[in-house]
Amino acid sequence: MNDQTTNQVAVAGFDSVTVRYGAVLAADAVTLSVPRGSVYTLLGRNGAGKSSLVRCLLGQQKPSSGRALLLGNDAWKTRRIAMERVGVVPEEPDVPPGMTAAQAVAFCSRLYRQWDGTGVAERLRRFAVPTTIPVGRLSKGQKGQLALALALGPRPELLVLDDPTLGLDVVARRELYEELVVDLADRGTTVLITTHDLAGVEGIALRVGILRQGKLVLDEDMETLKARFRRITFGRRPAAELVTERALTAMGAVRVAGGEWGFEAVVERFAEDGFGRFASEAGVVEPEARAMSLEEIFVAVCGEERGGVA
Amino acid sequence: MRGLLAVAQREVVDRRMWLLAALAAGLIPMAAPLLPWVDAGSVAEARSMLASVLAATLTAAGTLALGLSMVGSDLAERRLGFYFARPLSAGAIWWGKLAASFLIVVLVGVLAALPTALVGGNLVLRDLVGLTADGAVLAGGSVVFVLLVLALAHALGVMGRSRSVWIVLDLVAAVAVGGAIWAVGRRFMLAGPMTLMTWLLASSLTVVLAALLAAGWVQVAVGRTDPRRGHMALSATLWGTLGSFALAVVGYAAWVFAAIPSSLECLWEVMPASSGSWSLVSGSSAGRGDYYPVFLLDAATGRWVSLEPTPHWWWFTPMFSADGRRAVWLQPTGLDPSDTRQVVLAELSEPQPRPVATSLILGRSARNARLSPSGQRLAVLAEKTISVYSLPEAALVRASRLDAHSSQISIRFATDDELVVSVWPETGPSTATAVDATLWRFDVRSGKLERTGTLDASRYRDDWGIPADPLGELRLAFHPRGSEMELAMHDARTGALKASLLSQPDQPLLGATFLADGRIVVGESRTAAGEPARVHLFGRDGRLLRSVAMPDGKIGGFGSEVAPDVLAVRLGTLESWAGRGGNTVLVDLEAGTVRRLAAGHVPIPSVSWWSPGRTPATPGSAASRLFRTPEGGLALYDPASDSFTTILDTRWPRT
Repeated sequence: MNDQTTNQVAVAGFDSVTVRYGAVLAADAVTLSVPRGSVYTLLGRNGAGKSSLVRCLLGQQKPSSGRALLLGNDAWKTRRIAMERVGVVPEEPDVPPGMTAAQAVAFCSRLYRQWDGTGVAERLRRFAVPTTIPVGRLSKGQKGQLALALALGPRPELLVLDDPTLGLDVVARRELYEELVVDLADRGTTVLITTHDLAGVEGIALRVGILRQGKLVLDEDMETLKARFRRITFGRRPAAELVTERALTAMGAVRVAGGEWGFEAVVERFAEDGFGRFASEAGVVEPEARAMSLEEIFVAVCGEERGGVA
Repeated sequence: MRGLLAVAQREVVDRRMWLLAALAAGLIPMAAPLLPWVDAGSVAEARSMLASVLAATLTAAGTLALGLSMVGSDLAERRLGFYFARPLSAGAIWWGKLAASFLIVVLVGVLAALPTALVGGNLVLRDLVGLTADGAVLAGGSVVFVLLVLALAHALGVMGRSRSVWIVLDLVAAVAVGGAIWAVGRRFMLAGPMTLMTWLLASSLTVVLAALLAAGWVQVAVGRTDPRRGHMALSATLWGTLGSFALAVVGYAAWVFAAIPSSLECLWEVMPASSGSWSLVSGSSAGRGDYYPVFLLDAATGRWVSLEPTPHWWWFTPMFSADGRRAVWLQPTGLDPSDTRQVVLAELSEPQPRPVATSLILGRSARNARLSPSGQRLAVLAEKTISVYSLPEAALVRASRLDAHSSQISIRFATDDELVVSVWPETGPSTATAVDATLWRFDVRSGKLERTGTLDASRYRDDWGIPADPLGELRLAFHPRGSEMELAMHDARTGALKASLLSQPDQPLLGATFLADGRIVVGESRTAAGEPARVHLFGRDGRLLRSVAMPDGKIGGFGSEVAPDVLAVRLGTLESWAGRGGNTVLVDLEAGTVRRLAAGHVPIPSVSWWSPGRTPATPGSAASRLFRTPEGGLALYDPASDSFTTILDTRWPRT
């Protein structure tokens, strides 16, 4: 990946990044880029390598090979400078437990050239995060909101959220995503988010990457992704078995299941004309194509036979 | 710097409980009057002691606890990412946390002692400062110590928390590096170069501290939030640095101990055997600091034997047999100079002489050792017991305890079977008083130790600056007689006065020596009458045989007979004997003539105060013809050609 090119189009990315822990391969030659202004959602099951990649991107871990690129430069080498323009919400809240929120804000505000003190204070007030008691005594949701407030304090160009909703209740999750949407709308901040909360990010993600066993198996705009995946249900006359199989294969059938109630197929190359031909095939009864949620697509890609979604 | 200060400030705030605890602990000594075992008169003392103990304990505990946790706990609890997700350099994180921990430790000590200090308590710490008389050294040492413990505790904390197999490497490396440094340090301590040891200790401390601090930094910079990677980085830096240092130290030590005679740049000591061509030479060597290599050097062939120097080597200086074919010395077996010592010998007649340790191990107090003329027996004085050992058999021959009130005892072999023992009063002798010495005879064959006489009113110990009678029958002694100093000849066994040889004003001092055939040479430097200095030759009956006037100056001391009846005499004063340069004349005692040697050549004294009991060198032997060159080197004089052959090209010591 060319740095100059990346700097122009990508805020973050990975160039053949491999991460090994002894014999364990956490990330296998992953290459992707996060375009400026996008909301990139990196999905994967537990142990798929998401957090390792995020640590590499944040310059906290050196890849075994390849380079993580942050704001166009090698993240390992330029972490300190890059962090002026990057906000991070970690998987586990890591603000020292003895600190109060006010102390954490004061500490962070000294480290950045620009700091949106008013915005941070407003955000903490809005989410009723106590500022005078130690962080260790805050609820998980409050810690998450504090982390988000601290991450947005320096008005970052890139916001990295490593499974930020882990352990949050539904309300807290919604608040967090609403906050992100507001912020995105205000600033056009690029966001890289790893999460298991597929439903939560579905509404904000512009691009999706899916990791499976350390390999990047999907990297695509959300719009095209959702457009090409469909769940098709249909009935079938006995003699039409060969015909339907051929048609579904042409649409990239990922999975086909059947029973007395009929058949269901997930296809990854859905097209209206192709579906029209399938529907008009003799022997196909009451065909119906239904759009799939991100979670359904994820399950289809990672596959229940491969263990399902965690 | 902004980031470092922010981190440091945060750490101080985060660990403020230590400061509060220290302040609270500092108030505890105020309750000293309530303690049942403290009476009214010792309240202040008890308060001071309590405050000192509390301050020291809290400081030590704080240093250890903060060192273990300043980075380690954040790393273990996965909170270090909080710092790395900010625009903070690894240096700001590490040095900021270290600086804060250091500050807290200092404040803990101060706060714990403050209340007592405010009420006028005399803290033990203050006494310590007074004792060392150098508060800056104590403060500097404390800073180094605190930093060392902080960094060490941090390293141990990271090693322990990473739970990686690298800890095995750490243990192996620690043993290897520590063992290497200890081995070198021990050898230096045995050899006694204090300056080198001080440098070794100081540089070891400095390198260890620097390595620990650097390793902590690298661990944070390279390991970042990964404990195992951090452990690897820390270990690689720490052991890489310390290993390199240990290798350098071992290499340097090997080089230091591999000195050869030509390595000597400045000779401190040259002591030839009475016969033959071997000498003890010792001096300084460039780059070896105050490590002074010691060699037995054969002036005739250039062969040499390296000896292990010791811190108190004059106690154990090698002794030569009368024929110069054997050298024997005592080698301390431990670091403490009062440890046991092993008898080591070198057969100098062998083609390649080498030190051979015998199985004779002498006791802690064995210092005063003498070798018999044949080199077969060794007499050792320990406490007040005289023991004679057979070297070929490595066995005790005889031992007897001397019934004397004084421990000021000297021994010398008259023959292989007879020892003459002199006992001086505990308080003397000194240069200011004259004292009586009792004389004893120890018969080695019978083991009988008997008192034989008294040496009256002697000013110097008989083995102080005058060689022994080669025939073992006479001894010379100085006696204060009013304002005069008399040199007298006595019977070696009974102390009976046999003849008064010369008397002159106390200053300048008389110089005297035996010749190899037993005659006596005395130097007289009269100044009052303006007469020239003279060398007097006396027979063994005390009769003056000849007087030879010196061309100018005074007599500085005697060398040896470079040929039969040709004595090397250094002009100058006794006080300048150890100095550089000067003129030497050869006095023909038979013809009464004097011939100058080339300027600047100085004869090697035939005796020195740390080589008692030696007999004069055999005339014409290599030992008798050793001279210091004008530059300070060592040369062999050839009377036939009146020329010098340089043996060691060294320099005079810089003064």
